[in-house]
Amino acid sequence: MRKITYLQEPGEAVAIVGRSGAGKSSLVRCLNRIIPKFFPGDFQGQIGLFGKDIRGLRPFELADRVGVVLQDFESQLFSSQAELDVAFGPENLGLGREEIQRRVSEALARVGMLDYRERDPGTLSGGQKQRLAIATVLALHPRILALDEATTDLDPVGREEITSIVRQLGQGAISLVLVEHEPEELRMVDRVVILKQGMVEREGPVEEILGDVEGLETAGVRPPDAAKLFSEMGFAERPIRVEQAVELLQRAGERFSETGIQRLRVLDQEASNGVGDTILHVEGLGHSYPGGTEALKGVDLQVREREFLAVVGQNGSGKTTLVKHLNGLLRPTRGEVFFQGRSIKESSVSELGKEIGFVFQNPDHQIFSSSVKEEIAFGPRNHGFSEKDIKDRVERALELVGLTGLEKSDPFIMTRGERQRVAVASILAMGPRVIILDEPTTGLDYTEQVAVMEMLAELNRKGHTIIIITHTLWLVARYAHRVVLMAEGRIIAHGGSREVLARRETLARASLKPPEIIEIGEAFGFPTLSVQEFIGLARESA
Amino acid sequence: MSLYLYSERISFLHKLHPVSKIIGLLLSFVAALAFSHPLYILPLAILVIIPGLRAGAGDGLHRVWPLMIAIGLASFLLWGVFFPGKTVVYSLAPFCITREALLYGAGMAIRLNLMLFCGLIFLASTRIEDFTAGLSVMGIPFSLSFALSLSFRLVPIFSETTQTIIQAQRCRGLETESKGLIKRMFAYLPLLVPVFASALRRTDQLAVALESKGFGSKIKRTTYREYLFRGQDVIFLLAMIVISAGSVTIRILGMGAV
Repeated sequence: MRKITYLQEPGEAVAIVGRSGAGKSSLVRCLNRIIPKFFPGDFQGQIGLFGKDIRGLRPFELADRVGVVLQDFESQLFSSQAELDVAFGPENLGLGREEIQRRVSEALARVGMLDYRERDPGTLSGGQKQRLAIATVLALHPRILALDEATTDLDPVGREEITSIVRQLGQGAISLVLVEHEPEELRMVDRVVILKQGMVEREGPVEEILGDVEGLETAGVRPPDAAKLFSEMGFAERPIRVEQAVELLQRAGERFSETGIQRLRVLDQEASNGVGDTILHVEGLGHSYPGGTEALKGVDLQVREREFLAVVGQNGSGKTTLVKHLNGLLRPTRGEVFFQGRSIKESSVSELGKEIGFVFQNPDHQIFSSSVKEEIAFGPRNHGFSEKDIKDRVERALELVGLTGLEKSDPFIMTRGERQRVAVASILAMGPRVIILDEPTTGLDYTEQVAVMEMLAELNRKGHTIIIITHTLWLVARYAHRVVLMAEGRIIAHGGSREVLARRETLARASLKPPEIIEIGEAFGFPTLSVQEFIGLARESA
Repeated sequence: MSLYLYSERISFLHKLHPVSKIIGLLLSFVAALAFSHPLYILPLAILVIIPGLRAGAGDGLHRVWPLMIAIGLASFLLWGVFFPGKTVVYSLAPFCITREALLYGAGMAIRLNLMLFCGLIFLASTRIEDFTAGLSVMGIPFSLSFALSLSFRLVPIFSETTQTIIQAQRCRGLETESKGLIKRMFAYLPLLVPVFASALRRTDQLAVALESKGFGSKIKRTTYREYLFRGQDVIFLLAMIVISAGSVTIRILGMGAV
């Protein structure tokens, strides 16, 4: 951070946005002096809370004034019972037992978790854990509540739940500070502050900032589809909500060209026909974990060569369990998986790794080398390729992920987006025909997300079959050919992206919502997958 | 899978004050350590079975029985061979198996498993937070007892992360089954670095989360749960004192040893 001046009124809700590394989390961590207490460095300037200088205070002395909820909710829950986690803060404040009991019930009620008070937090779903994490902070009765990307790992409905809880809190006496990426969540605040390279680049009312498409994109934030559409169409207005956009467009007399719609339908069909033969085939797949949880309940799936497939669904729907069967990481409890028509029952993960690559969600779960080159060479070396071959493979993989020239860099000091690329390169170097990626864009800002997805689209164009797990549906709309929608261990819908993403009710069963551009398009009779498609149809009609 | 051995039920042991249970556990160890003869330890083991199962230790037993059998067998075999004795039962030079050694081996196997089972009963009937509170009442600093309780929480989380890391590296062709100690050590490097890095990151975040919630404050800490010392605690402690003191007395009188 460099010379940040930041003011917030009591009761105000402010969102802090910016690219990865812009200083958003650092700013939040200064509010309760986690910085400089836990992250020492050159610390200058002054922070005042409610008119008092907090210099020299330790984070625990600010616990009843500033509540901070971090992205990683697992590390914020450490008790064997939900209510004990909530009681932990008030216990540290030395409050009387009756007061603690009152606060525990109140905090759990505010996040809708009263019925779960006796549950082991380890057995809760992701959304419930995050709500509990918020309750643990609320029980301290903070006057400022800061959420640092607290909803990133949640599915859209889980995010919406948290957002609505936070919105209600914001209407009370609590001041909110949100670090966020998604426009859907940003809309609830009063004011947005854009940080760039550790400085305040711009700030203003939410309508104004979310309408500044170019400014948001430069700051690594995805603009609302409505605003982006109006900006691209050259309109002066900048609506930030679907209903506003539809009303304005209807008033402007916009409509879609029928021939344009027919053309897109033909293109969809061509894209579907353009892919190759079945490469992976799953039949009656069932999987139960040792604890007895039935994660998959009879799944049938065909993946065709050169296809870009998105597996979507809410947290815990069985997406990861399904794809881990495709390369043998998990073995079916019932049913079978075939690769190129042959059962993979007898093949080891290592053997399958040459044909089916798997990139894990967190790149830090695999990176161990001190140079990018060595990290990428690890797989090919394990498979016994010659040194010359390994060198060629590393070079080719680096080129494919756009990291040429960074061979000697230390992956540990790269950004999360770059580390994600290193992880993909390390799989690519083994030359797999199929690449499976589990949530490849989690923790990345908009610019990085688009860059990773463009890279995958390019790999797909070069002949790789791509399978991604995600719950970011605007990415699916933009890049995937086909969607498999999962809920409670079953596939509840599959088909072309346009077809599946427009099924609002089916998506709702999986705690998902159609991307906004699809909703805007549907108001004009056709679900459009991108802003460009919408403009194309509208222009053709004109 | 639950991270704890705690069993959610209402048994006599569940209702006791955590301090009673901690003292009771220590006294059960005293009684078990007093004897080495299996015929003296066995009644103690039988004595704890019913209250143990009522307290829900059966679930823990279900999870650790292979370990208990391994410990039992290893103790029986090792002591059975190496314990010095006079009454030779079987001899195969240079080893000879004596009656005393077999008895001692059996005694050790029962003793270790008895102590393990008492530990399971304690964990099945005591929440980790109650254990922490009990230690605090006994004068152990909260930060120390809390650190102990955290380790129970962190072990399964680290083990889960390690499993993910092993899977990620297996996808890149990692084989840890290679021959030769040095080769195998190198094979583990791709696992150790991410495991340690992730453990460090997590403990760092945990420290931040704890202090943000007032941990470390100089204010005298209160507890959400109320722990009352009741009549049943007196009965339980008296019974445990009688059993342990009785066992020690019997031993001092020269009985109970092989």
